Amino acid sequence: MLNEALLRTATRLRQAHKRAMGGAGFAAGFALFAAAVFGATHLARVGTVRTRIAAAALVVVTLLVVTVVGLVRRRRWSDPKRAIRASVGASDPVLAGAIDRATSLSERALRDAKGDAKDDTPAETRELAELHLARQLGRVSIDRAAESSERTGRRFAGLALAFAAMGVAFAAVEPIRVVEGALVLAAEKDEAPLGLIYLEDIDIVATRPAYLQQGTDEIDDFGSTRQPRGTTIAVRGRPTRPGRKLVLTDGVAEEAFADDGSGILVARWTLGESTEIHIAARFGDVRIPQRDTLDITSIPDLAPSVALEGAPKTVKLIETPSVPLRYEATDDHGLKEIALVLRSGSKEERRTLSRPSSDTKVERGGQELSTREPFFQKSYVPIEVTIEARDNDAVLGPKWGKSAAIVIVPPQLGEPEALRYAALLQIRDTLVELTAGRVERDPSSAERAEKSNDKKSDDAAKKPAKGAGPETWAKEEIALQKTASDKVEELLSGTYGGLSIRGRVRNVVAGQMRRLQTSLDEYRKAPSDKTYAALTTTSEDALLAVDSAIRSQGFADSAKVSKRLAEVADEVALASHAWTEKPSDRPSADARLDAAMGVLKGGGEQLVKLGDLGADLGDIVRGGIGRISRPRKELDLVTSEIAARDLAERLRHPEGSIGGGGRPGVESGGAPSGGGSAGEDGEGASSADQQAENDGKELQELIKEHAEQIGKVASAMRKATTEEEREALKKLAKEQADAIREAVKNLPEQGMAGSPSEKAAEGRKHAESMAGALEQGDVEEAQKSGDEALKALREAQKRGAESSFSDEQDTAKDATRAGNRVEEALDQLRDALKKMQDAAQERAKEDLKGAGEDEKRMAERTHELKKRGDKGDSSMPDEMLDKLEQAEKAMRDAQDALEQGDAEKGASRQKDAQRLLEMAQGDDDENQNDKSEKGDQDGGSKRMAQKVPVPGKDKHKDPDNFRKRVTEGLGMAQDPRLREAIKKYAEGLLK
Amino acid sequence: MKRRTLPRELRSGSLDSIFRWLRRSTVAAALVSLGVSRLASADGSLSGDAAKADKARDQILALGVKEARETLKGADPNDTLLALERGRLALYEGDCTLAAGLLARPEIEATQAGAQLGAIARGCVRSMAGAVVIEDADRGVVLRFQDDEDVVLAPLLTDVAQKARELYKHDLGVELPRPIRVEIVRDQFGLAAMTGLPIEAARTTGTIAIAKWGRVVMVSPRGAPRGYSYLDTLAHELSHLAQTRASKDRAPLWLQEGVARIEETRWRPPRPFDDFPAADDLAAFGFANHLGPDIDKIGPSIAMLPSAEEAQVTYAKVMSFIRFWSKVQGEDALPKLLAKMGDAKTPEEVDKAIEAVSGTSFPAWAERWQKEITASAKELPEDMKPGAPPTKHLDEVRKRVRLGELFSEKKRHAAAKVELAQAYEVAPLAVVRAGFASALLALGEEEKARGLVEKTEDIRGNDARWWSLHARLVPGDAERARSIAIGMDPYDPHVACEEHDPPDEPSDPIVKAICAAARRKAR
Repeated sequence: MLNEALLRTATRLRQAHKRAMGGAGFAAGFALFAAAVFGATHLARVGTVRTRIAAAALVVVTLLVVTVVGLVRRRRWSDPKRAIRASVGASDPVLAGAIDRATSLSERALRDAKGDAKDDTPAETRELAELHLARQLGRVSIDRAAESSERTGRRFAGLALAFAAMGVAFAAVEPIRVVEGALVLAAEKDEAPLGLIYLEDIDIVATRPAYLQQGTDEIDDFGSTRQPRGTTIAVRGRPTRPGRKLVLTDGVAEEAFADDGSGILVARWTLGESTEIHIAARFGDVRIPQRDTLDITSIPDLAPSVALEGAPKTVKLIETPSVPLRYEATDDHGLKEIALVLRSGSKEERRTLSRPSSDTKVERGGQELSTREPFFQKSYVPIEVTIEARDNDAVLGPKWGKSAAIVIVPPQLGEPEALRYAALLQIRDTLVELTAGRVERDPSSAERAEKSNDKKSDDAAKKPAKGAGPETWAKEEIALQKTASDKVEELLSGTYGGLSIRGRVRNVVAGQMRRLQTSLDEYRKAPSDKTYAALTTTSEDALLAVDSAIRSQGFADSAKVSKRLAEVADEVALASHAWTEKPSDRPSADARLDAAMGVLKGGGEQLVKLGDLGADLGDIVRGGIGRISRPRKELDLVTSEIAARDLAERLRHPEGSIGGGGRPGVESGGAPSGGGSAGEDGEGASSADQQAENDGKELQELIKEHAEQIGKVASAMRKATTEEEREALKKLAKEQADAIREAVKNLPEQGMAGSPSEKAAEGRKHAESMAGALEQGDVEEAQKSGDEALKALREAQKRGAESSFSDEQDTAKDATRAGNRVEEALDQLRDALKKMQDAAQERAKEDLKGAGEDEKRMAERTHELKKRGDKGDSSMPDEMLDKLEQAEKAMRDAQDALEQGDAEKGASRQKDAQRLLEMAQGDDDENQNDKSEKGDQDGGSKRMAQKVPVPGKDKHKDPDNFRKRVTEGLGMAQDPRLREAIKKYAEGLLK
Repeated sequence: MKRRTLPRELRSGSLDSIFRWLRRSTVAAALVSLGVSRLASADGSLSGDAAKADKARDQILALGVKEARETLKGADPNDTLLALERGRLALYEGDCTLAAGLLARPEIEATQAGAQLGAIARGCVRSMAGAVVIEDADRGVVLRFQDDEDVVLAPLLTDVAQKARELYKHDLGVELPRPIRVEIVRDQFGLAAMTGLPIEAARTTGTIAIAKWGRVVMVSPRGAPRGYSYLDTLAHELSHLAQTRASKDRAPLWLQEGVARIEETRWRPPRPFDDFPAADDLAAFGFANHLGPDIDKIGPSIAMLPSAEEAQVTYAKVMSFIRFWSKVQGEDALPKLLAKMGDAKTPEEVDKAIEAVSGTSFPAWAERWQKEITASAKELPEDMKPGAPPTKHLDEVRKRVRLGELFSEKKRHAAAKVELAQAYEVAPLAVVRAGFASALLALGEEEKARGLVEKTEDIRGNDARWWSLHARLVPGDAERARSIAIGMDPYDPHVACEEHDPPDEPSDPIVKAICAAARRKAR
């Protein structure tokens, strides 16, 4: 326990100090803190992380210092000993020390008295110690201590004043800076918690993208607005506090305001997604927002929408001759392109269907995809067909809108051929049924069967029903054959996966049906066992002929399909290679492999349906698939690739497994198979197919040679014409051409329908064509154009005469003059030509006679061909025989005319004969087409793939060849009647 | 090279290509084996241990692959002469990929031998990629099938190989190496790639099997529409391998082919038409009509003779001669002759081997044989004479047979019967009898059908379907007949399924599997 005197003295000293200090200490501390806070806000306003940390640290440290100092001082004065030491020590340190020692002595004595000491202390000692302390305390002067405290109080007051002045200085420069600094300091995530006003008199203007053609709008106030994506929002305003860096921001991105030169700040915001934008002042990393925000809803430019009629759906190409595509594309702003897109596996083909004008928002159209579409031919996996539309979005770039897809499942490779072959087999089966019935009913057959089997047979042949006479049989046979013919006809006219039955096999089938009909007619005329036996034999031969042609077709189709499958096997090899080569590509390589293997398998399954060769090759495909699949399962794709390449190589040689008709050479195992030459598998059973092929070749040869024959006549006439005559005609033609051009130059180029001008314009066009033909020396063509011109000009003349309008009457007068000139030119040309031809004919008489003899030989060959086709295995269809007959007649007419020196008539009939021969040939043999296609692929396409100018008609030899190819190509139209016309058209084009 | 050919096709054959190939392979290989020329070293572009390479090559050509492997053990990889032999050894061991790799070195490819072996190895890699290998370690046979469906034939082929190995130990005094390697390819394209025979030559001559590169490569009967005697063919080719091994590949062509013709049927019990028309009679016909060269003047191949008739007679001659010589000299003469040829140091020693073994020169033997067969031969039937014109009814037969097939396919058996009866009337061939019998069976006329397929004396040659129907209708001879039929055309469902209609099937598990494969086969 402290000495009471000590406590009293301390209390008196504390009271004296308090009186002397007043509030100086607290004031100094507070002023210091305030100055630190104001200073810190200025520092924080710089806005960087460092300055904000430094400012915060300054505030905190100052607060801590002030608090600690205050607490220390308070504690000091609440302890009596320390209070006495501090108060007395400031004015009399010796006394303070003495008091300290006395106090210590007194306290020790007191502790001893309580028994704390190790040895006993007498009570006198304690009293003496207290006495000593009392004496020392009695020496303390309260006044002197108060004086000391007053000095201290004055010093603190001075400090308080200084700090207050500093604080005022910080705040007084621009008080808002302190606020801004405080806001920056208090910012969370670089955004101040409260906003300030920085911009006033604000205008907001929205400018829409130019491609929308919607102009500009003023936005009245902050709040919310809906604007198309890409709109530019311009914000203008007067700054309230200069010197701040203002921005327009959505909290993430920002656009800086710039001075427009008149003290107005402007910022432009391009609208992307929907957002809220506001103005803000940027301080370093921190933004202080202005309280107003503009909530903008972005209206996106939507991708076009495309509706494709019927989609989504799946179409099997084998069941559909064509796929109609009807579509409607719409866009909110405008369409730029409509495209047809075909995708198959990794392949894609995009074809532009239309390019609408920029403001078109709806576009409708239609398209028809044929089964012969080249893309389909190249695709073996399903094809996705879509119509896609592109908009005119200039902001984000054009966007494609896509319709639902029509998935086109292509036929399996070889499926059309297999379907057609199946139809051919049905034809054969029909004939098998017809023939089998006849064989079974034919009494002579029954006799032969019985004879061979040594015993009587009851059922080898079905005898006619009891009482049934030959007439009944005939009726039955007629009905049976009609049913069979109708079925065959129906099958012949069918289409099988886009393929039809044509060429040689068609000719053989149709020819044999005619042969059967002839035989039936003979039986009907005189029904008897003998004529029935003849009918049976004819039926057997016809069946074998058809069988032979069908097998031949199967062979050709197998070869074709095999070669296409070789390409698929190549794809398998490439995909296997890709799998091995790039591990990263394995998923796509696997997908490719799966697709190609599926096609290979499907193709192989179709191949086996195509007769003997197809079965053999299809079996090889099956085996090949096994060889590819087995190593693939063990992830040995290198071996798979080798196996696929081997299979591809094999399929490129579509021949039977063993040469020489599939019969191996036999050195062992005894004698060769008993019957190796007995015609198993149909070999040699009928020569019909071979004869049909020979006849086809003969006809082709005939056509070619006859075409040369026509050329010979023309050549003979040319040769018989003298150079002077040709020059004179040329000169005349040139003169007439100039005159005609002059005569029609004033005629109108177009006119109202029904007016004289219309016909005058038409006449002018023909007259100019005539002039052109004359300049090229084509007098024949010039005559045709001239006739057309004259006809039109005379019509113009007639219409003008009937018109009451003077301008039409004037046109009619011009047309009359021009018509007269054209007529005059035509007369002169005809005269000149006739004179020249008469002279030439006279000179070419011998040559024409020779040509007549040649034509006679041609007619005889045609006759022979027809005769062969009239009966037997070589039987040709009726229409073919008719054409051959007509061709022969035309040839004989041409022969007569040429022998009489009438070149014009002879040439005309020759052309008729040529046309009829070509018509007799009918549609080309598919296999020949394939060859020509291959030829194109091998050479033609390479030539045509290069961008080269079309050569002029008089340059070098290659241009001649080029023209020849084009004219030949275009001249090979399906309808022979159009061939000449198309050929001439092509020639005209090329000239 | 030993191969099976179709002599009658030779007239239209591409002889140039065959000759080119033979010049490259057979003749060269023969010369090599005789030590007359060393192909690789002759090129001068390879270097290394020539003596070791020669030894290894001789061992390989004599099918001593184990010995060759020992010889080449630890060969210096930089020794290109030994590298060539390692490639050859790999090819003989059936490791085509390794062979192709070893032979792909540019300096080896630049040599004639290296280029040829490399091409064969690559062809083998290509043809056998993904193939199925069946190994019968106990019987020492490795079969490799290009087409997995042919695996059903493995038990039959293995059986023939095993029997042939046992047979040739006795007949030729040599044991075929273990394993015997047989490669079954799907078609002649595979055969050509595996052997180096130009495809045109293979197709023209109808070649279906070749014993070369230490293995037999043969076309599956699957590739032939009416099959062929593939089991006898295997035995024939294996006998070539055995002779190659016994004579260290020095047996001349007449010996090779004569022995092979005899041995091809000895692995099984004798059958009708094994020697029909008789080789002696045919040879005698040849002598009488001056057909075919002397047997030691055949040239590089019988298949290259100018006509099919000459080829037929020459095959008969070599067979007849070997049979005569063996009969006179005793059964151990042939092994001795082959061994003697194997021991020959020079080509002259090879030529005189027959004299060394028998004490009589080859010309003397040839003269004696000719006299003997000329005296004892029987006149050939007119239609069996080489070059005999086809029957005048051929067109009629073909027509009726085809009509019969068409009617049968549509179950118009009565009509088929009428047509086939007419074909049978003019040409009672085995194939016609089989078709006719089949139609009769379908009509329930079993007795009549049996009459058509009952007696082998009625026919002049084998037909798988005839034997199959014979097996069904003549139960006493069923086992033999089935064996003949399935040895000819295992992929004819009638034959393979023992004339059962689906779903019925044979009881024997091997035949049952073949039947299932036959039914699966596309046709």
